[in-house]
Amino acid sequence: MVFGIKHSLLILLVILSIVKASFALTYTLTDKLGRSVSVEIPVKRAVVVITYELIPALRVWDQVVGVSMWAEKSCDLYRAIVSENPSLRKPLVGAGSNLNIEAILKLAPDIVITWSYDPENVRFLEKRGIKTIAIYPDSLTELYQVIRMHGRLFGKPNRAQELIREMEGIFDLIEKRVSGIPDKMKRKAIHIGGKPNRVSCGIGVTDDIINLIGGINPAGKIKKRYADVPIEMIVRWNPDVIFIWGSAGYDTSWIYKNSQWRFIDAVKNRKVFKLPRWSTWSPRLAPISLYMAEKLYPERFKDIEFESLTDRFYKKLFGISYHKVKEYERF
Amino acid sequence: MKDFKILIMVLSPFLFGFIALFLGAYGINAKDVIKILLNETLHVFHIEDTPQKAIVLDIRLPRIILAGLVGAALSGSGVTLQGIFRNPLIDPFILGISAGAAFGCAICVGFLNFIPIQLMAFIFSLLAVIISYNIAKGQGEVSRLPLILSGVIVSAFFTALVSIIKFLVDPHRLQAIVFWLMGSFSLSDWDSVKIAGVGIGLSLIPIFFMRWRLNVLSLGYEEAKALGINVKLERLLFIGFSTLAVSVATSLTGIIGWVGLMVPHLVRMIIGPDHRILVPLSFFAGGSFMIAADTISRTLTSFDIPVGIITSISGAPFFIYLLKRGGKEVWGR
Amino acid sequence: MGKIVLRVKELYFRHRNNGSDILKGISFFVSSESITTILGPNGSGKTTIFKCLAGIWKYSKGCIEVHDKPIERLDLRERSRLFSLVPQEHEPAFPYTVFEVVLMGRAPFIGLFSSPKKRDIETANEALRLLSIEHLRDALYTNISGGERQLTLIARAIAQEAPIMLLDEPTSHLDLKNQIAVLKKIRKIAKERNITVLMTLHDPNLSNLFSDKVVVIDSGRKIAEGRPFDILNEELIKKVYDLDVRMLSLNGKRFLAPILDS
Repeated sequence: MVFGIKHSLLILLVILSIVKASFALTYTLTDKLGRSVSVEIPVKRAVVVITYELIPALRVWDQVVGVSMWAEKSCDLYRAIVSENPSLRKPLVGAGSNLNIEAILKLAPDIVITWSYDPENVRFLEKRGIKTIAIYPDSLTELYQVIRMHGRLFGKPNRAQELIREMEGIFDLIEKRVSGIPDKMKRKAIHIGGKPNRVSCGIGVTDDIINLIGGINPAGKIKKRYADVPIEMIVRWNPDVIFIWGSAGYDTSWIYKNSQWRFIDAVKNRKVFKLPRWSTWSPRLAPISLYMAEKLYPERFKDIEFESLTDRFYKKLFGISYHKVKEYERF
Repeated sequence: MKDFKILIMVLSPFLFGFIALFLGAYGINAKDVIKILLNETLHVFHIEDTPQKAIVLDIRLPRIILAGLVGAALSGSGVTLQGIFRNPLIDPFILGISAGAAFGCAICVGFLNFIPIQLMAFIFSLLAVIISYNIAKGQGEVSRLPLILSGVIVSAFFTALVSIIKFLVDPHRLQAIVFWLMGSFSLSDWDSVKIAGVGIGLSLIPIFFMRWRLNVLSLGYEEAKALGINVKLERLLFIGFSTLAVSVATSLTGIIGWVGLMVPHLVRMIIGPDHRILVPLSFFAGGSFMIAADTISRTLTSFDIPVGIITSISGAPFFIYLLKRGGKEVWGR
Repeated sequence: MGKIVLRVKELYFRHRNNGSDILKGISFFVSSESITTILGPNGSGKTTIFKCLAGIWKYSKGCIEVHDKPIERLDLRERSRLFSLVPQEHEPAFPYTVFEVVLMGRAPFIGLFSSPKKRDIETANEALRLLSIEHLRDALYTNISGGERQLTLIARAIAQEAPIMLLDEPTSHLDLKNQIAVLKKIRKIAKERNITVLMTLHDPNLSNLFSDKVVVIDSGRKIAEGRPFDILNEELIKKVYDLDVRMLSLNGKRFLAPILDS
């Protein structure tokens, strides 16, 4: 046996390098466009296009190098946090629907997390050697998957799980109070979007939430994400409550003033509500759902103090108070 | 035979409109519809204020009338511009109306939210044509080729501006621009009908009275001049009125293609190029085509199909059929 | 043939962007109810004179008088009541019927917001009869022969009821038979309707046969003016067309035959 010191060192080095290599983990996933993407995790230089609310939630500011313009322009949460802590502000890479490729390249990201709205954008980035993941959660389950995926990518799987737990906490609260409602007594709710006759249909997070809060989505029969429907169809459905998308260009007064809607129960009973202007692809989906549940079955949520509950949620998940964020709301 | 064809075309919008009152997602049975109509017009049968009544009189009826007016405007403009440009393949958006309207909509949605979209779309569609016309005028006489070219340039320019605005605008407001551009009658109400009635009426009526002039103008600049026609002025009037009609229509319902190009062309193939008959028939045919297309778009499935899809799908095969059957008579070349 | 109905004095014309004069001081006169031909080689300025007369182009210098009254101040419509223009036959934009084409000649009488009335329709029908083309009334202008198209355009000018008819090369796209037929027709209607005819031709023999007066133009200048009998001769043709011809007599008429080198 000629195991001299030199040999032992050599063997040790080999073993160490193997061990080190296996610590550089690779995460392989299939994104919404069906593409298989392999990424070394945890990512250190991510560009986040649409799920920016997860940045404060997962506390991964130092692993993110860029966000889309939409974070600054339409997300009160992001705006509030970076205004209070300017050092956290990230460079912008263009609009979510029109990414600035040069800006992205300049940041030399190791991953770009965007949405599948424009597959061309994704392919373009791919061709230039930038790893891209495209998401589009079409259900609550898929949303959880997206949050977990973010957790793994950033090396914070436990934190991601915690986020989901907090969300479930609110969902459980809601479900407990509406589970007893028999199908015949369930109330009908529709969610209208960019145009008053553009309804959220059977595919998507919104439909799941309407069901979760014990409501029935009459547009759920249409197996699409959204559809433009004739006004008389809405009259026929006769929803009890109408929710208007938070970022719609019109508000409840438009509906109330419009004589074509006057026979709908939601209009007769003044049950048209505009949702808060928050992203639904984020943990904030939970308080949005609570808001909707309250409006749909007010008698079952009388004792809930929405603001204080949401404030606790914010502080736990995002580290900032509900009222502070509200200051940064823009219409 | 010709008179029969004319009669059919004139009656068709009213026929289609009447039938369309009975069709819709709500499902009202025919007897009730008739009762509602009789009650409204002749005040017989006491009818309560029910959802059915609201649907027939406040939702379907204004939508049908608006479709008829917009169809007449698009088709009437199309036939006018085809006559002026002596080209049967011109559509009313060629001088930049659609790009101008899109720009007006984008600016409004993006920055000037407090001004109604319709007004901005209308103003900028007119502006686009005025700019096109003035660019062409710089060449001396406003002849056809410079006018078409400047229309193309102005369209391209405004379209580029729209892209820039889309880039700068809040993503959620962005959707409103996209929706508006895809023409639709879903949100038709009596207010839109009133605006359309006045705006489109004020533009189509003068065109109707001037229609014989289109025959003479189609002879070309020099021959028309030798017949004592002030060609520049009359062209300007025709372009002005047709632009007004299309601008009003577009500002109310967004951009709907094909109708302005295809309907006048089809009517000309059937009835001949004499504008004395061609112009009024284009109004009626355009109206009925639009009513039919919109009715299909709102009753085929449980949701609204964009009406532009219906117009292009239905127009094309009919067009091909007439083309095959036609030949020299049809094209005149 | 009587008094002078049209007088052109020192007419100059140049295009706006171009430097040189196309018409260099043309003067001639036309007597009422006569047929006058403007004769000249290609590019001599014949069509330009017509466009100036009809008001399509603005001449730079000179004066045009009808019945001793200058016409500069007249607007387009008033001009069109004096002059009717028959262009060379051409492809139209749309397939109008012969009747619809002739009806267009009534434009000077129909207001902007009006349509043709009974009188206009009658006048158009009259014109068709005069030209003996009533059988073509509902035929498509695009389907008839070149000669028939020329007759249609002449009928349109008749419907215009203007005392002076300008015909720009009425025979250029026609075969011999049609050339003769059309010119005969022109002569007939000039007589029946007491219309003064001014036409351009480039065949001296045809002008000889069919005109009362000839005005010879070359390079924007008038070379000669007078009765064909008096002025059409071998020297003139040589000067204007640079062509050797021999004059022959037949049935009291003069013909100019080109001589080719053997």
